[in-house]
Amino acid sequence: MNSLIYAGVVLAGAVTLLIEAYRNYNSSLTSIPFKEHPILQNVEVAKLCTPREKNIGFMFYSLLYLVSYIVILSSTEVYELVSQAAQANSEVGPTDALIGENNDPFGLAGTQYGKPIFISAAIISIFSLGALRPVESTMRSLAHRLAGVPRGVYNVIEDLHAIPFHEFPVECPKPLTDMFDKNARKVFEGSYDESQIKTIETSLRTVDYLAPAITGKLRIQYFPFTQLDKMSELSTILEGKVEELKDLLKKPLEEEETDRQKVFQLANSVANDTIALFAVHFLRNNRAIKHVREDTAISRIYDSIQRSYQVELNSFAMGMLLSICAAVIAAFSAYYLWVVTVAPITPEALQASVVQRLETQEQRPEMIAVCRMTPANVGRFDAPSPGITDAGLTPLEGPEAKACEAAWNGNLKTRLSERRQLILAESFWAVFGVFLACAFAAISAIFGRDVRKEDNSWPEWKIRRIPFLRLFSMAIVPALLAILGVAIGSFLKFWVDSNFNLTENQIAFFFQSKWAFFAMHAGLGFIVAIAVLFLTDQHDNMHDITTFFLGFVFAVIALGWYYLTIIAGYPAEFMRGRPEGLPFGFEMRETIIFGAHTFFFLIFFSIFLEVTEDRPGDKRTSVSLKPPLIFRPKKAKAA
Amino acid sequence: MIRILTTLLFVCGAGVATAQGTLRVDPNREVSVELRIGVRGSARPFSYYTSVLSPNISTKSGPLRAKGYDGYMVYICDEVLKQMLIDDGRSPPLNANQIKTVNIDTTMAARRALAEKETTDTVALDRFDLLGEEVDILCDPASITRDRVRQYAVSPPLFMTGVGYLSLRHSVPPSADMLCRPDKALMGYVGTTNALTGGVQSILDAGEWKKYRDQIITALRNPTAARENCPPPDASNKPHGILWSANTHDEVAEKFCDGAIDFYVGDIEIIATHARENTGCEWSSGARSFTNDRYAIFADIDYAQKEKALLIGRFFEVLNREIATSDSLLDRAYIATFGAAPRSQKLDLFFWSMRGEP
Repeated sequence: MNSLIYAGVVLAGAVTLLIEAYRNYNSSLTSIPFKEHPILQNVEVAKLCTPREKNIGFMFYSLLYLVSYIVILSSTEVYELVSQAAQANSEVGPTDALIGENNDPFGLAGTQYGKPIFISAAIISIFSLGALRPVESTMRSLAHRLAGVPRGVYNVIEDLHAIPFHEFPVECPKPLTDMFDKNARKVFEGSYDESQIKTIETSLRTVDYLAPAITGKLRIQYFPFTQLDKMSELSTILEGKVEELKDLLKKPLEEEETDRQKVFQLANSVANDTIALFAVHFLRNNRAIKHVREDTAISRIYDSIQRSYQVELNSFAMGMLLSICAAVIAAFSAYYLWVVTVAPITPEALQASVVQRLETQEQRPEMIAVCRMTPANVGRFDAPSPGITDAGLTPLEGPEAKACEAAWNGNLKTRLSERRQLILAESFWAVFGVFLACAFAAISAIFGRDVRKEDNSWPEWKIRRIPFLRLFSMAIVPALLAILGVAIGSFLKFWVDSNFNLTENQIAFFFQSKWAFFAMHAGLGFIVAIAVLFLTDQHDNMHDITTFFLGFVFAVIALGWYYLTIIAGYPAEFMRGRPEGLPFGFEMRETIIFGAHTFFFLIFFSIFLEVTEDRPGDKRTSVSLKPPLIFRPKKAKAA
Repeated sequence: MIRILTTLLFVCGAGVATAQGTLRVDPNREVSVELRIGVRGSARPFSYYTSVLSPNISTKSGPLRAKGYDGYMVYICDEVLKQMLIDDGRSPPLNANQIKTVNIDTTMAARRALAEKETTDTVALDRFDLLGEEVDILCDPASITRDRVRQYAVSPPLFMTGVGYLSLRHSVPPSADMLCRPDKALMGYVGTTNALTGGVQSILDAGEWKKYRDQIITALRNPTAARENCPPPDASNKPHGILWSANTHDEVAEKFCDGAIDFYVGDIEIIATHARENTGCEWSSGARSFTNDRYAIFADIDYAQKEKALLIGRFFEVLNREIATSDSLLDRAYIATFGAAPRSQKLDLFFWSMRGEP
């Protein structure tokens, strides 16, 4: 196989993917993202973003295609290497390339050349399958989100719905509500439509507080970054609708049922449109409202939507940071206890290096002779020092004693510090691989959920009716990413250990001996993803203690899974017996070293979810503040 | 007495035949010339001595296997010799007593010991030095090289192998600036550095051992200087430095499995077989081998000794006949040695080119 031609074919595969990504991405720009809102009907994605955002979106989108391509192609390379090595181990005879294989530039029909194109074609066809549409749309939405193409509208809409407008101070202007009170309320009060009053009030307040910000001249003041033609066009449409509502309420309402219905429907529809358009403006304005004065309705609204922003992501980041620290400490402790029990620093081991050092320093022979004996108080400077055996200690006498003791103690200190350094490095690397696995799994679950929520296809659920299939399908990608994470982490360590120079032989063996260990991380990724989704979805409906308890339960399950991973994934020759005097055996030691990170992460994540939550008191109160379902965006059918 | 007379008669007869210009042998006459077959004590799986009688050694065995030698090359030689023992009435007769088996390894060890008595330096001896002196036919894994073909008679290629290397599964190779270790060598092999050079160069050309490349090339170019730069810790020949060799594969394999050698270099079947014999030794041979070497049987034909020359000629005649057809001796030797182990694609092609479709 000619490597230059192969590189060309790899490039061709990548270009094919880019073309497909471009086609797919362009077609996504013509879609209508917010069909549920009358005002946003017929508004295409392309009209809601600038060319710069379109290009950045395409860059991210194509990057995701290319990352999949790189991961799959390199996995096949590793697989080929490993299977080739396994085959070569059992075969008799030379196992290098056949004559002409390496240098025949015209042999383009060679099977090796087809691999990148095949993978590229497979990615294209798999992503266009109906079953994998959600994955593709998740990727696209993620790209949109990363590029700032307005996709986060639903979250903002939900937040806007949750704002208790009726609690706003009376001095905030509310012309429509006042008009309703003056001209229409009495008509409703006497009729059988009386129950609609509360809904109409909420709708009108919504329009009163939000509409001024996105219509007329104030729009440019609050949302200066949204100067797209389409936006001003939408703003004008909304203005017209508000005017229509105003005209209806300006004069006393006739006591006709049709008039009452007209007020009810128009108020609801305008409120919905206002919220949708406000959400689009907010996102297009980099999730900000500019030039807001204190103690106005808009400042209160701004505070409300800012507050509930990215609780999960912040909890994830803080949880990760703390769990890394906690896991390194746990791994260090487990390693250290093991090492001081199994391989303590003995006076014999120290003696050789002490004598060698004294000889190098050309000390007097009498002193060296004295120093050959172990001073009685060595190791007593921090007694009882772990890892020092008491055997063979002899009290030193004579003038040389002090110097000898200093030499011994110095040597011991060096040894101890060297050992601590080594164990700390090992602990860090052990945690690093698991950290990548856990981080990949958790972040992909959080992003996936976010995107599905924005797509309006992640309905709320109750604990008693767990949508297991939905959670399961959402946890598949995190499970695969966990394998990728731990493989990358372990391979990096291996690479660093080998001074950044690995032979094919070692790479082949590395994957041969560790594939089971890596594969078992699919389970860990799955557990982490389910835990993250479960906690994120349910923490609003649960008491703090229940969330912590659930986090702990998931953490224990993850730890248990790690125990299985160690048993199933370690080569038999790695296993060791339990040393005397230690409360844990080898499998438990490895479980602590590797499992600690996930364990701590799930606990910290559950804690931070609750702690960083902005709604004080019982979460159920905040839920009840939400307006009736009629106002809420249409949800997709539950999975 | 009868033997001496017979020999005299034979020599006279041969003289007459030569004088007449044609080499004709009377099949009724018994020849007493000795055919010395060189075999190895420990070059598994091609030529080795086994104290335990293997299943290959049975009443059907020829003179070599009957003496406890076995292996792929030994099997081939043995089968040919067995054929030669059958008197077909036209070829020079040969009886089992005329066949002398010479263990190259023990002979070499004795020579080496003798030579080292006279000098303090390490003595490098080549087993091909024995060919013609103590051995007539060499039945061992000897690669075909241009020099050897110029000096000796050679059979068609009988096996194809490649130089590769083994590394211990759980070992991490040393950093490039710490190759001079008192009790560890980077590379272990058997034989002379000259024999190793080509193979190592191929491994380096394939991109392996990048970080040691300069040190390895320096050591190959000037082994003595490399040894001086990195002297052994004591008088014993413990593995140390970059290149370390021993006289037998058993020795190198043992050190390799003890972790004293990072890379065990050699013909892939030989090193794999020896490493496999160390129980608990976890190694990997990597994804590929790096060279293509063909083994053949070499002989030294001295035409002054016509009877012997005739026998060696007869040996090659039978050998060629036995390997060239579909029921090839190569296949039988392979099955007897490697059993059901699959052949690599290249070896398969080699067999196919030698004997056609099986």
